[in-house]
Amino acid sequence: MSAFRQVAKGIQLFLLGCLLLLTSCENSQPIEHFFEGFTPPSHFPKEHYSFDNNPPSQAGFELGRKLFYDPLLSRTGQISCASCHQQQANFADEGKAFSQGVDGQLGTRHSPAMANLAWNPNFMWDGGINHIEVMPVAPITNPLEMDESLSNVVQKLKASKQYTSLFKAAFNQPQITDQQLLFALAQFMGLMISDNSKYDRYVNGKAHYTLEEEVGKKLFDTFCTSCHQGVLQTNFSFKNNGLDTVFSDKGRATITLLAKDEGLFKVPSLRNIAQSAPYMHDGRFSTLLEVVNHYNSGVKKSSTLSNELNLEMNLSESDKEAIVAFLLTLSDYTYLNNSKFSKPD
Amino acid sequence: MKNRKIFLYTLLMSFFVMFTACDEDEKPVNNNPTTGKFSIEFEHHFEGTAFNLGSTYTTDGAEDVNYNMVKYYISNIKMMNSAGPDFVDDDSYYIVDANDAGSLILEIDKVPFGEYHHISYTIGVDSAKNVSGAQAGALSPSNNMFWSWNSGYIFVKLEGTSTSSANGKFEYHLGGFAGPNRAQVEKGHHMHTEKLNIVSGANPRVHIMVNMKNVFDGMHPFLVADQNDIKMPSEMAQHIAHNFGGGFELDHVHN
Repeated sequence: MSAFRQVAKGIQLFLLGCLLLLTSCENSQPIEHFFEGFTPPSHFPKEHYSFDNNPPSQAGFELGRKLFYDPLLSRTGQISCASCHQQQANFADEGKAFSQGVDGQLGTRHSPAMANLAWNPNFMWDGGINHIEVMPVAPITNPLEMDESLSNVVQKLKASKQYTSLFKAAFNQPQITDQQLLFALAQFMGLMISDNSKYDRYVNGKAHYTLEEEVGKKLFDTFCTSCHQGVLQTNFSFKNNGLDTVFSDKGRATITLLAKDEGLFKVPSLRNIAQSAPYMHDGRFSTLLEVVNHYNSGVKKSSTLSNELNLEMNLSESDKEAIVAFLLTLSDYTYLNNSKFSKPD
Repeated sequence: MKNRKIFLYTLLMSFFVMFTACDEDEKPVNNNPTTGKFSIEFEHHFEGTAFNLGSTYTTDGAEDVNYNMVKYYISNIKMMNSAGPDFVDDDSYYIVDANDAGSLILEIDKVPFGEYHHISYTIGVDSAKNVSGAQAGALSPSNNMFWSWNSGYIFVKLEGTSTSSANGKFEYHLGGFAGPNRAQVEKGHHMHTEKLNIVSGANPRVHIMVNMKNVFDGMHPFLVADQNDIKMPSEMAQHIAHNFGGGFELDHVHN
């Protein structure tokens, strides 16, 4: 019986092989063994973007990566996405409150960090952008950033033999289109997953916290997780976190036009927070300790202030240090050094 | 026994796949068409006077207006059939641009033969397409009918000059795909007297007149002096969109 079973298994496998051969016809792509595609970490919540209309491929991802690092996307040919989103800074602009776009112009908000974007329901500090695929249209066309039109970018790409063949390999269409450009960038950005911080290993039972990190985590859970919730440390809401009493930047209200949204900004993920200084939408704080001090004793009252911030924290100096120690466990050095996301050769 | 069954199934499946996989090119030849085509033409006018970009007109508020851009989305075209099922031009989006004569006529095919007595369409883009990422064709963001910083389509783009405006210009970019300031305008026209007949070999046309005076003097009249710049969804954007939509009227049907 067992011999028969083995023969039957063998025949089955053989037939399955034939089946694969026969179904692929002549327009099949080579099977990519080393490309993992989108593999959401098991301890993450359900992603927001599941690549439904844009199935990721090695060629698409690599094309997106090349585009991300290519200043061709800007009017002057000098600014790439990576100019203001550097890997070592969790893809924020290291050390800069505001970033320089074309002709040395300064933007108006701190360059947002980029990790686990497939989980973001919206983009930018004011949440004005509702989909990862259309996200790049904003920096490409913003006069202070890349100041280029999508159609010009497509013209430049079409003029390049290398891009023509890369787009062909990724999308197998006769012409490069802006949709393919945005799909490729979404594949790269959507696959930028950071899931190997000490915190992740702790959550998965594979690392232990020091006593100080444990204390910090408890304080964080008490005072911070009503907004900085879950393994991504954000509930993706918009809050006025007490930075100002008068709002020179109305934040969320620039999108909704509602008075109740004045001075509200997106609650950011805190992943790799130690690497993405300075902090807040305007980069006003340089260190994590300044941030903790702000929440402990610097919150300014205004009509739209988040209710969660009415809580007295009364942190001691060692409490503050413990919170910072916990925040340092959110750094994912695998992500920050992953050559898959680095500038291609 | 179980294994033998699996074996048989696998064998059968293999043959099935062999014979069905590679015959995509064979399509049944249809000698008896059941669908035809028609077109919709949009003709702009200013209260009955011929409309041209670059010409100056006068509103009820005694303001001079001179358009240099009139561009808008038409989508969700539906027709009611007097006898059979209704026709829906699914997933089709058109940009009408007063500066592009070809865009003023929408060609619609694959319409089942029949007599249609009502046509409806949306000026704008349904909310689903506003939240579904990068689109192609008429919905490509390259058409400059998309807000990059506040995701959503600009349903109607009206720009021009007026001496009543503080900066000499008016720029109305009207959109808002959901919520209280939703700015899509649904239009419907009865074709009772002249029904649209979709028959073999014919190319009937629905002719729609668009009164550009309505933008300022429609159901929510306003002065350019008070409002010359709208670039995001708002109540005023919604009002002007409805003013504009109010200017669309069925003129006639050529069969």
